[in-house]
Amino acid sequence: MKRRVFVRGRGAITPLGETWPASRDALAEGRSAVAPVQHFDVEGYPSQVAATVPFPLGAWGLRSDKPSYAPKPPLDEAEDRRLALARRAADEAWAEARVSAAPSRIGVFVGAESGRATYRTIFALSRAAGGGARFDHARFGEDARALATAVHAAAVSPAAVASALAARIGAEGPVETISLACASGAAAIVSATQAIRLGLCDVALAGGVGADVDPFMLVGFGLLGALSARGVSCPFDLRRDGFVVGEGAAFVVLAAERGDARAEVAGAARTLDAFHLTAPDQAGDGAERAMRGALDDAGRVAIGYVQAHGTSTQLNDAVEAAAIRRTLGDALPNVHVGAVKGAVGHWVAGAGAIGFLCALEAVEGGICLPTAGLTEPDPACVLPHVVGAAKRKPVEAALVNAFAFGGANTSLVVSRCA
Amino acid sequence: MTHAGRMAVTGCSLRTPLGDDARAVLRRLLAGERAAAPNAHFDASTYTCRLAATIPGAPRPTKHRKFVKRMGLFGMEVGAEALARAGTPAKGARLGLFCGYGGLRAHWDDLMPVLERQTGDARATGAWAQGFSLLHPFWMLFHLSNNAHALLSIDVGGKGDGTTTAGSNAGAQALRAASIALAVGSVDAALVFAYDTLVEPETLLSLGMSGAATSAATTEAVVAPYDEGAAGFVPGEAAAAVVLERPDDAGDRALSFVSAAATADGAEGFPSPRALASLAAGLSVGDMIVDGAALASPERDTAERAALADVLGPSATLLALTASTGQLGGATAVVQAILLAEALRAGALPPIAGLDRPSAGPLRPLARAEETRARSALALSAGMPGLAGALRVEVP
Repeated sequence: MKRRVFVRGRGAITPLGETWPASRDALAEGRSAVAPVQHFDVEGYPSQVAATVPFPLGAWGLRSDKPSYAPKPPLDEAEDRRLALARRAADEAWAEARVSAAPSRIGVFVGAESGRATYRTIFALSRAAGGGARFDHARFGEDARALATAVHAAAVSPAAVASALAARIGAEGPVETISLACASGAAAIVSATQAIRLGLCDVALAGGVGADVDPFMLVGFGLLGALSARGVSCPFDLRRDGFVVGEGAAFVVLAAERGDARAEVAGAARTLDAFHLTAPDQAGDGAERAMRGALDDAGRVAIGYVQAHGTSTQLNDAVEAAAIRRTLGDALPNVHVGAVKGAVGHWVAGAGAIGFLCALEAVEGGICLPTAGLTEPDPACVLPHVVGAAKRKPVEAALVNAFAFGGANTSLVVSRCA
Repeated sequence: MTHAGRMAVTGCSLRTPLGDDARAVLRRLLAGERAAAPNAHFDASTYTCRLAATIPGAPRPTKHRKFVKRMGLFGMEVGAEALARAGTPAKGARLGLFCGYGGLRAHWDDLMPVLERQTGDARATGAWAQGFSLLHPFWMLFHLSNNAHALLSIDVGGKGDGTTTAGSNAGAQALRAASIALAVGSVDAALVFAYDTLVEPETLLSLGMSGAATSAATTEAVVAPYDEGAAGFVPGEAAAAVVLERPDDAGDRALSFVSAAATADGAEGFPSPRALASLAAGLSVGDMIVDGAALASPERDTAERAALADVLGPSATLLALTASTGQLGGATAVVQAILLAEALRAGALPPIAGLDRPSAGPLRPLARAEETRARSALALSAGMPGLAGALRVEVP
């Protein structure tokens, strides 16, 4: 018999709130944080909006260590915004969990992409390399030396977040960094669940962080044609035309010991489309297998809420909606569907983790969060959407989806503790 | 329990600075060869670190060059080869893919034309008009962390569980993740492939300035790890892949067995020796051979040996494959899994290349090749920031 995996703590910092309760309340009202980018010049960009965390983070997010970091630093000066965000969310989750375990029995599982030096640092490096169209190694070897710390692994390694969080909570068990694009955060929760079930650890901090509101990411995604030219994130809406980049961090603390937990991770599954680098399998096979895998893993549960991946892109939303309809079948009328990206944008590596918190809220608090921006559902995306404000109802179990570029699919089932 | 159990290796492939055939690479290791040479990728004569251990040649021509850079292509090559050599033991949803990669690199050839006319102010004023519009529409795909993972899954038809793990211990993470998938039964075979290069301008800059990488001007001047004069490692690069199956499923097709663990301790530099020793303790089954992290820092090397002696005893044999291959970042653990198994099968342990004056301390740094009857060994890998990996390799 597999070990049960209980949810003991939650934390998030989002464009709508500094904590999970604050974020949840704003999400429940149907608010959206999508707004024109202010902190750098987006003139000419294919998409000029984003959902940005507006709260002061301080260097490295040392809120609890150095509360005097009250002055709001310019966004560009936080060299590793991933860590600043992740520490805030992880601190909140860890404090709520009130777990105790030997350090060797505590694991950390983080969905994160590589850190990026800021635009100014990259610019400075290019100037150290001669500043021309070609990289001048002879000059770089001499002139870039003063910039070495800006590209140190502690700032740019994808694993820097997990490593730092492990030290922060005193974890000495398994530590894993998953860089699986938009499915990273949810995939990290799957890994944590598997590790607890197998007995590799008893407690796990798991989640994800995205900090991609920067010039390179906006241009890169924009040139790829993935972003909304209209500047609206409206999953499953007839008017959707792409996603909006967002940022934030969300973490949960999972444990083998129930404590006062009200919910548990009942099912988890990951699949690969093996279809295309950027487009989903239009048959939705991989997505459907992930959902069915998580539901099979969970056993007999009644799904009352689905937190969809819902990117607000034409093809992805239609494929996901069809896959949800096929998977849930006759149970669909009893389900409500929400997609958080309408409100907080797409966090990429953190997206699945904030989705998990939304599903958890449905189970723990009976709050089915809505899809902000959705006003005119696309007939190709017919689902029992939560439109406008949250719906309140008891939910026994909820399903979370996170589907990534490259066809990596993750689904999780969170259920009320029996 | 700190790991998901022992899994069988039924296929493997690699690209290293010493070659792409495990048996031939072992011969060079046994001869004490070192791959370190003046940087073959670019003129590094003004860099603090001028030497590198690079993979000779280029990836085979492929349509994937549109989306994946050189090291990812090597990773895809070895992945496909390993699976073919294993006889493709599972397909579709029962075949998982687990990739380990070190992290994104800047790819300056793409960026320099885009940055040439920028003004560089904090608000990136006018950046679009001054060059960002020149970025290739597929630029983002080169920076997709799971691009090689995704395209290889298409090539080999792997539709099961899978992740891309990341960081300088990514190989160990990927081996562990694949072992877990096999242990929980989500797949019947797991293709694990890892790739990384430390031979990139910004990486060499950082490693050189931090003192982690050697500043020696010639290969002959490089002092080996665990030598009393050690003064930094040689940055390298590699790609390697293994196919894992549950031992009962593999039966007599098992080439070797591996178990893996990975952790991190938050250090900005390398992980503490205690973290490495803790991983070794969780994996060891009376093993007396260990391939060390081999950071070539006198203080680090000494502390590592002391910590390992507490776990393995003071007379355990200490190897350092990376003294020959260069430090291989996120690819290290998978390379170790292949080459240590090859050495154990051959009954021959390679020396620590270039080791002239072993520093004092516990464990027995191997200065000359020697025969062995051992059937198992441990291997450690360490990278920044605070990342540790370990595996146990056993041959039938």
